[in-house]
Amino acid sequence: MLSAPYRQDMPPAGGFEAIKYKRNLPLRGPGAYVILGSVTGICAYGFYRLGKGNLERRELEREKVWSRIHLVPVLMAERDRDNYRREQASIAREREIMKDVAGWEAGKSVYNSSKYHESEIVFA
Amino acid sequence: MNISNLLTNLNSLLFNILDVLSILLPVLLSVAFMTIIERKQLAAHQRRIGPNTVGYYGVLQPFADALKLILKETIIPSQSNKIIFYLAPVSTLVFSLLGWAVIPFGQGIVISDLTLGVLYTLALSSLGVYGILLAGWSANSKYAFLGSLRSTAAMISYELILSSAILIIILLTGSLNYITIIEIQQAIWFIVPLLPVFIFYFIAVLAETSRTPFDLQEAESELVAGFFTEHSSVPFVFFFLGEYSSIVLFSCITAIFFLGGYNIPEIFINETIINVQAIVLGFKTCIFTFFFVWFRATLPRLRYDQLIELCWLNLLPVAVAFIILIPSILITFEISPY
Amino acid sequence: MFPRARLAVGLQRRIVLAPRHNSVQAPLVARRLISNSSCTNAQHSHRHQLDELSSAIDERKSHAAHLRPREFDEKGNELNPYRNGPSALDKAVHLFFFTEIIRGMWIVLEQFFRPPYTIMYPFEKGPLSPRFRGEHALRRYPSGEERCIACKLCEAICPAQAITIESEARLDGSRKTTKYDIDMTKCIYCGFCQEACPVDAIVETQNQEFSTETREELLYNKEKLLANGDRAEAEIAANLHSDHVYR
Repeated sequence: MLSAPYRQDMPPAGGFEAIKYKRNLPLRGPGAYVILGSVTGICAYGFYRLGKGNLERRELEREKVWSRIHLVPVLMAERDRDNYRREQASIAREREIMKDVAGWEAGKSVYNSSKYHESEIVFA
Repeated sequence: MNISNLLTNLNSLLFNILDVLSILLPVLLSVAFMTIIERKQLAAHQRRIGPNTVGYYGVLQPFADALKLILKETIIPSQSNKIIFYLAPVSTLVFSLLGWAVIPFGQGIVISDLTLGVLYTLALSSLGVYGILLAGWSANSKYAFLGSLRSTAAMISYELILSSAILIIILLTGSLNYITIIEIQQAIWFIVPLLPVFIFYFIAVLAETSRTPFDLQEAESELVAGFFTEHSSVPFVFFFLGEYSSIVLFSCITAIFFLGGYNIPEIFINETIINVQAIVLGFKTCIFTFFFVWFRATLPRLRYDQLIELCWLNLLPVAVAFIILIPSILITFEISPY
Repeated sequence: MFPRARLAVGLQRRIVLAPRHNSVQAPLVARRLISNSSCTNAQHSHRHQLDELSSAIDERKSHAAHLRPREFDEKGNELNPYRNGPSALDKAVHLFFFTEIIRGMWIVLEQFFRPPYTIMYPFEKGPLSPRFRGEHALRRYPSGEERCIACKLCEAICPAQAITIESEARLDGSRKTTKYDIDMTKCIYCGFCQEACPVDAIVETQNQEFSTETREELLYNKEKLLANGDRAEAEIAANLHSDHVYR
């Protein structure tokens, strides 16, 4: 049996490499000033862009407000004209319906003062 | 009431329910798949493979888990307060899922575009603490009660830091509305000017959802399972789903606050029916869920007193410092939003 | 391939061909040798660095030692023992921006992109040494005669007293066992029996996957052990041959 060739479990050629047992935690990475400077730089760039964006939003808001200032009187006048026309048409209809009733005043307000008030009844 | 009024009401009711379902079902699916993503990603970080038997590559594992948990026997301690015992996990899950009502998945694509959306989210995260408190109390066990007290104290401590970080964002934008916050980020994503704020915001979010390194409350070796020790099958499923739902919800909120929400640079005009913005928001949420699991793979747990000390002694001064610094910068350079 | 040793039924001698053991076939049979399996993820550097273990602390200390001098007060106490360490700004930046934590996390991220070590067990198996102690087997001589001579050394040395032997003279006068039971539930698989056997009759094969559904099947008797031996004779012989210089 000993003359037959056999294969033993041996260490690799040249021996194993040495075991590193000493503490080895090298300080790596950027230093404190680098980190602080880069974070400050990134934040400064970010605030710059953000500031521009906010100023742009302010201008957009300003445009919105001015356009409302310009547009709202026109739209209100248009609506007022339409409301007056509709109110007159409804009084005319009422006068037409109640023309045979004695003592009926079409369009008479239920209040005693002469202040203008919007009609409470809305016709769909 | 005539029939047309009834049909109109029914129609709008049906569309409201469809709206909610179209957000809720994908959210529940994403929460279910979050569990398997976490296991596979943790395994990948640890140079092994996670579950891979159930579906192709393991994707049907959450359904197998859900089936097993539902078929288990629900054990209720006899001396426990049964109403609160059932109510606590339900309330945890409900408050986690309610937070999805204000998340925008596109320009105006949101269930309710509240003007005070951010306040709604903060309020829900505060209410979520009730679920944990009630769970520990109702289990009628000393250890569950201790776990829930510790968990509650940690969560309310870190809500301060979370609220401070969100306050800083609100200072930059001048609005509590989510869509306004996202639109302002078309100028620059908020992670760039607010990088240190993002750091302590993320720590606060990790602590709010009780994730490592702040999950001492759930560490099995310490208190068995913390406040949900006594809850067995379906109540446990609700806690589990509630926790993962809040993880996905906070990832989404982080993506909205810091990474621009659904903004993409205007490379092309999208006139198809596909909502690219929602896909972009989903991708950014995935980045943060990756961060959550990455933190879990790396960091050891903090002991409970270290956790509280970190909040009140280390993070709170930083938060207050930034609350003073950011408006000063805004006022100095006159770049406030109004 | 080489012909199997045939079962000797009864007392008749049969002429069988001896299995050939040469160095070509040994790796084919004992393919689960540990030294044969590749170790792709280890990095061996083929340099000898027996005396160059350094942690560079001394270099760092000596490099910075000339930066600031030591100061003492009247009584000889040192006033600034930490003069060469990190500055306050260094410490603050590393505290607030989590430098070491990010470094640790980077390592974990690198691991995310590396291949896993997992073996899919029933379909892929890990390597086993030729000395692995698994299921027991009783061997035979190449002529077919069973090796066991009922010396009861294995029964005596077994720490768990798992082996039970009864023997009497066989009809042709040789000393053989009539009963050779190994209780595999008592056996601790220590391998003392295979070391004690003077004729290499009882050996342990490399098979560890012999679980059964009833407990009674695990109480092996002589037929079962002999059948094990006949089935795995080639493997047993190759393992014994690769280890014989150490036994």
